[in-house]
Amino acid sequence: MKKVIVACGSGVATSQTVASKVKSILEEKGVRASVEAVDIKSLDQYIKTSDVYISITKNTKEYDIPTLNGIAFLTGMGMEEETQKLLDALK
Amino acid sequence: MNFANLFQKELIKLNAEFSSTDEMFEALSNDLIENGYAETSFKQAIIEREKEFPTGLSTETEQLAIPHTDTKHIKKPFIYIVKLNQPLRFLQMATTDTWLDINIIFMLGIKEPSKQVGLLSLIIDKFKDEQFVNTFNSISTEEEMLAILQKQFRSEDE
Repeated sequence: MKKVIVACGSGVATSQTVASKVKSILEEKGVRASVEAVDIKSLDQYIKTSDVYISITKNTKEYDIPTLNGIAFLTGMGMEEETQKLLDALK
Repeated sequence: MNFANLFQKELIKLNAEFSSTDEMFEALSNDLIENGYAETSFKQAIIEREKEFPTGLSTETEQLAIPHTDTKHIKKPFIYIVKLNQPLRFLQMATTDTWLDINIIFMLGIKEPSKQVGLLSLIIDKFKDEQFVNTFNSISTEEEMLAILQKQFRSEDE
Protein backbone atom coordinates (compact mmCIF):
# COMPACT_ATOMS: atom_id res chain seq x y z
CA MET A 1 0.00 0.00 0.00
CA LYS A 2 1.23 3.50 -0.81
CA LYS A 3 2.15 5.71 2.09
CA VAL A 4 1.54 9.43 2.62
CA ILE A 5 3.25 11.31 5.44
CA VAL A 6 2.33 14.70 6.87
CA ALA A 7 4.73 16.67 9.05
CA CYS A 8 4.49 19.87 11.06
CA GLY A 9 6.56 21.51 13.77
CA SER A 10 5.41 19.57 16.80
CA GLY A 11 2.97 17.03 15.42
CA VAL A 12 0.40 18.43 17.85
CA ALA A 13 -2.26 20.12 15.81
CA THR A 14 -1.70 20.86 12.16
CA SER A 15 -0.21 17.60 10.88
CA GLN A 16 -2.92 15.61 12.67
CA THR A 17 -5.59 17.83 11.17
CA VAL A 18 -4.19 17.64 7.66
CA ALA A 19 -3.68 13.86 7.92
CA SER A 20 -7.29 13.37 8.93
CA LYS A 21 -8.49 15.61 6.07
CA VAL A 22 -6.32 13.77 3.53
CA LYS A 23 -7.55 10.42 4.83
CA SER A 24 -11.15 11.42 4.28
CA ILE A 25 -10.40 12.75 0.77
CA LEU A 26 -8.72 9.47 -0.20
CA GLU A 27 -11.60 7.44 1.22
CA GLU A 28 -14.04 9.55 -0.73
CA LYS A 29 -12.06 9.03 -3.93
CA GLY A 30 -11.73 5.31 -3.24
CA VAL A 31 -7.92 5.43 -3.08
CA ARG A 32 -6.25 3.00 -0.70
CA ALA A 33 -3.20 4.51 1.01
CA SER A 34 -1.96 4.94 4.53
CA VAL A 35 -1.71 8.48 5.88
CA GLU A 36 0.44 9.24 8.88
CA ALA A 37 1.22 12.42 10.82
CA VAL A 38 4.87 12.46 11.80
CA ASP A 39 7.20 14.65 13.81
CA ILE A 40 9.41 16.92 11.67
CA LYS A 41 12.44 15.71 13.62
CA SER A 42 11.95 12.16 12.36
CA LEU A 43 11.00 13.21 8.83
CA ASP A 44 14.18 11.99 7.11
CA GLN A 45 13.71 8.43 8.27
CA TYR A 46 10.04 8.40 7.21
CA ILE A 47 10.75 9.87 3.77
CA LYS A 48 12.65 6.73 2.77
CA THR A 49 9.59 4.52 3.15
CA SER A 50 6.93 6.96 1.90
CA ASP A 51 5.46 7.83 -1.50
CA VAL A 52 4.17 11.35 -0.88
CA TYR A 53 5.19 14.03 1.62
CA ILE A 54 2.68 16.68 2.62
CA SER A 55 4.52 19.61 4.12
CA ILE A 56 3.22 22.18 6.62
CA THR A 57 6.56 23.83 7.28
CA LYS A 58 8.90 25.83 5.14
CA ASN A 59 11.03 23.35 3.23
CA THR A 60 14.73 23.74 3.68
CA LYS A 61 15.50 20.52 1.83
CA GLU A 62 14.51 18.88 -1.41
CA TYR A 63 13.17 15.35 -1.23
CA ASP A 64 13.04 12.62 -3.85
CA ILE A 65 9.32 12.01 -3.43
CA PRO A 66 6.45 14.32 -4.51
CA THR A 67 5.99 17.09 -1.93
CA LEU A 68 2.62 18.81 -1.55
CA ASN A 69 1.48 21.99 0.15
CA GLY A 70 -0.31 20.95 3.35
CA ILE A 71 -1.74 24.41 4.06
CA ALA A 72 -4.13 23.91 1.13
CA PHE A 73 -5.71 20.96 2.93
CA LEU A 74 -5.90 22.98 6.13
CA THR A 75 -7.55 26.14 4.83
CA GLY A 76 -9.16 24.87 1.63
CA MET A 77 -7.29 27.51 -0.42
CA GLY A 78 -5.87 25.71 -3.46
CA MET A 79 -7.06 22.36 -2.20
CA GLU A 80 -8.40 21.04 -5.52
CA GLU A 81 -5.03 21.48 -7.17
CA GLU A 82 -3.15 19.75 -4.34
CA THR A 83 -5.75 16.95 -4.26
CA GLN A 84 -5.14 16.32 -7.95
CA LYS A 85 -1.38 16.19 -7.36
CA LEU A 86 -1.96 13.76 -4.52
CA LEU A 87 -4.13 11.49 -6.65
CA ASP A 88 -1.58 11.58 -9.50
CA ALA A 89 1.23 10.71 -7.10
CA LEU A 90 -0.70 7.73 -5.74
CA LYS A 91 -1.60 6.26 -9.13
CA MET B 1 -13.95 15.41 24.03
CA ASN B 2 -16.39 18.27 24.11
CA PHE B 3 -14.55 21.26 22.67
CA ALA B 4 -16.96 23.73 24.30
CA ASN B 5 -15.30 23.02 27.65
CA LEU B 6 -12.02 24.40 26.35
CA PHE B 7 -13.39 27.95 26.36
CA GLN B 8 -13.29 29.90 29.62
CA LYS B 9 -14.28 33.47 30.34
CA GLU B 10 -10.86 34.16 31.89
CA LEU B 11 -9.29 33.08 28.58
CA ILE B 12 -11.08 35.57 26.35
CA LYS B 13 -9.54 38.97 25.71
CA LEU B 14 -11.42 41.44 23.53
CA ASN B 15 -10.23 44.91 22.46
CA ALA B 16 -6.71 43.85 23.33
CA GLU B 17 -3.68 45.94 22.40
CA PHE B 18 -0.09 44.76 22.24
CA SER B 19 2.93 46.35 20.64
CA SER B 20 4.40 43.04 19.44
CA THR B 21 3.62 39.35 19.22
CA ASP B 22 6.25 38.65 21.87
CA GLU B 23 4.53 41.06 24.24
CA MET B 24 1.19 39.37 23.58
CA PHE B 25 2.65 35.90 24.09
CA GLU B 26 4.15 37.01 27.41
CA ALA B 27 0.87 38.42 28.70
CA LEU B 28 -1.17 35.40 27.60
CA SER B 29 1.41 32.98 28.97
CA ASN B 30 1.33 34.71 32.35
CA ASP B 31 -2.45 34.30 32.50
CA LEU B 32 -2.20 30.64 31.53
CA ILE B 33 0.55 29.89 34.04
CA GLU B 34 -1.22 31.76 36.87
CA ASN B 35 -4.50 29.98 36.20
CA GLY B 36 -2.93 26.52 36.05
CA TYR B 37 -3.34 25.84 32.32
CA ALA B 38 0.33 25.88 31.38
CA GLU B 39 3.76 25.10 32.80
CA THR B 40 6.17 27.99 33.35
CA SER B 41 8.14 26.68 30.36
CA PHE B 42 5.18 27.55 28.10
CA LYS B 43 6.14 31.21 27.65
CA GLN B 44 9.49 30.61 26.04
CA ALA B 45 8.22 27.58 24.14
CA ILE B 46 5.34 29.42 22.46
CA ILE B 47 7.51 32.40 21.50
CA GLU B 48 10.22 30.20 20.01
CA ARG B 49 7.85 27.89 18.20
CA GLU B 50 6.04 30.76 16.50
CA LYS B 51 9.39 32.01 15.19
CA GLU B 52 10.38 28.60 13.88
CA PHE B 53 6.95 27.36 12.76
CA PRO B 54 4.66 30.34 12.20
CA THR B 55 0.89 29.85 12.57
CA GLY B 56 -0.81 32.61 10.57
CA LEU B 57 -3.64 31.28 8.40
CA SER B 58 -5.76 32.82 5.70
CA THR B 59 -9.15 31.47 4.59
CA GLU B 60 -11.45 32.94 1.94
CA THR B 61 -13.17 35.06 4.56
CA GLU B 62 -10.78 35.78 7.42
CA GLN B 63 -7.22 35.67 8.70
CA LEU B 64 -6.27 34.25 12.07
CA ALA B 65 -3.32 32.84 13.95
CA ILE B 66 -3.37 29.59 15.89
CA PRO B 67 -0.22 29.60 18.04
CA HIS B 68 0.47 26.33 19.85
CA THR B 69 3.39 24.34 21.17
CA ASP B 70 4.39 20.92 22.48
CA THR B 71 2.09 19.00 24.82
CA LYS B 72 4.66 18.88 27.62
CA HIS B 73 4.12 22.58 28.35
CA ILE B 74 0.36 22.14 28.81
CA LYS B 75 -1.23 21.23 32.15
CA LYS B 76 -4.89 21.50 31.22
CA PRO B 77 -6.23 21.84 27.64
CA PHE B 78 -7.51 25.28 26.68
CA ILE B 79 -8.26 27.71 23.90
CA TYR B 80 -7.29 31.33 24.55
CA ILE B 81 -9.18 33.80 22.33
CA VAL B 82 -7.86 37.26 21.60
CA LYS B 83 -9.37 39.98 19.44
CA LEU B 84 -6.89 42.76 18.76
CA ASN B 85 -7.79 46.40 18.16
CA GLN B 86 -4.62 46.89 16.15
CA PRO B 87 -3.46 43.96 14.04
CA LEU B 88 -0.15 42.21 14.72
CA ARG B 89 1.95 40.75 11.94
CA PHE B 90 2.22 36.98 11.77
CA LEU B 91 3.99 34.92 9.16
CA GLN B 92 1.73 32.61 7.25
CA MET B 93 2.23 29.00 8.15
CA ALA B 94 4.97 27.28 6.12
CA THR B 95 6.32 30.53 4.69
CA THR B 96 9.26 32.76 5.51
CA ASP B 97 8.06 35.87 3.69
CA THR B 98 4.25 36.03 3.62
CA TRP B 99 3.18 38.37 6.41
CA LEU B 100 -0.46 38.57 7.46
CA ASP B 101 -2.10 41.35 9.50
CA ILE B 102 -3.93 39.39 12.14
CA ASN B 103 -6.66 40.55 14.54
CA ILE B 104 -7.87 37.15 15.70
CA ILE B 105 -5.84 34.76 17.83
CA PHE B 106 -6.88 31.26 18.84
CA MET B 107 -4.06 30.04 21.05
CA LEU B 108 -4.40 26.28 21.38
CA GLY B 109 -3.37 24.34 24.46
CA ILE B 110 -3.35 20.78 23.24
CA LYS B 111 -2.63 18.02 25.71
CA GLU B 112 -3.83 14.91 23.85
CA PRO B 113 -3.42 15.40 20.09
CA SER B 114 -5.37 12.26 19.12
CA LYS B 115 -8.45 13.41 21.06
CA GLN B 116 -8.29 16.97 19.80
CA VAL B 117 -7.70 16.18 16.15
CA GLY B 118 -11.06 17.61 15.04
CA LEU B 119 -10.57 20.89 16.87
CA LEU B 120 -8.37 22.77 14.43
CA SER B 121 -10.41 21.82 11.37
CA LEU B 122 -13.54 22.91 13.20
CA ILE B 123 -12.01 26.29 14.02
CA ILE B 124 -10.91 26.77 10.42
CA ASP B 125 -14.32 25.70 9.11
CA LYS B 126 -15.92 28.35 11.33
CA PHE B 127 -13.62 31.00 9.89
CA LYS B 128 -14.58 30.00 6.35
CA ASP B 129 -18.21 30.67 7.27
CA GLU B 130 -19.08 34.29 6.59
CA GLN B 131 -22.01 34.28 8.97
CA PHE B 132 -19.87 33.03 11.86
CA VAL B 133 -17.12 35.53 11.00
CA ASN B 134 -19.60 38.43 11.03
CA THR B 135 -21.01 37.33 14.37
CA PHE B 136 -17.54 36.76 15.82
CA ASN B 137 -16.33 40.18 14.72
CA SER B 138 -19.38 42.01 16.06
CA ILE B 139 -19.16 40.59 19.59
CA SER B 140 -17.99 43.12 22.15
CA THR B 141 -18.27 41.41 25.53
CA GLU B 142 -16.45 38.40 26.96
CA GLU B 143 -19.72 36.89 28.23
CA GLU B 144 -21.30 37.02 24.82
CA MET B 145 -18.18 35.57 23.19
CA LEU B 146 -18.09 32.68 25.64
CA ALA B 147 -21.77 31.90 25.04
CA ILE B 148 -21.40 31.97 21.24
CA LEU B 149 -18.27 29.83 21.20
CA GLN B 150 -19.68 27.26 23.60
CA LYS B 151 -22.77 27.01 21.44
CA GLN B 152 -20.82 26.76 18.18
CA PHE B 153 -18.36 24.17 19.46
CA ARG B 154 -20.70 22.16 21.66
CA SER B 155 -21.99 19.31 19.54
CA GLU B 156 -18.65 18.35 18.07
CA ASP B 157 -17.84 15.47 20.37
CA GLU B 158 -14.95 13.26 19.37
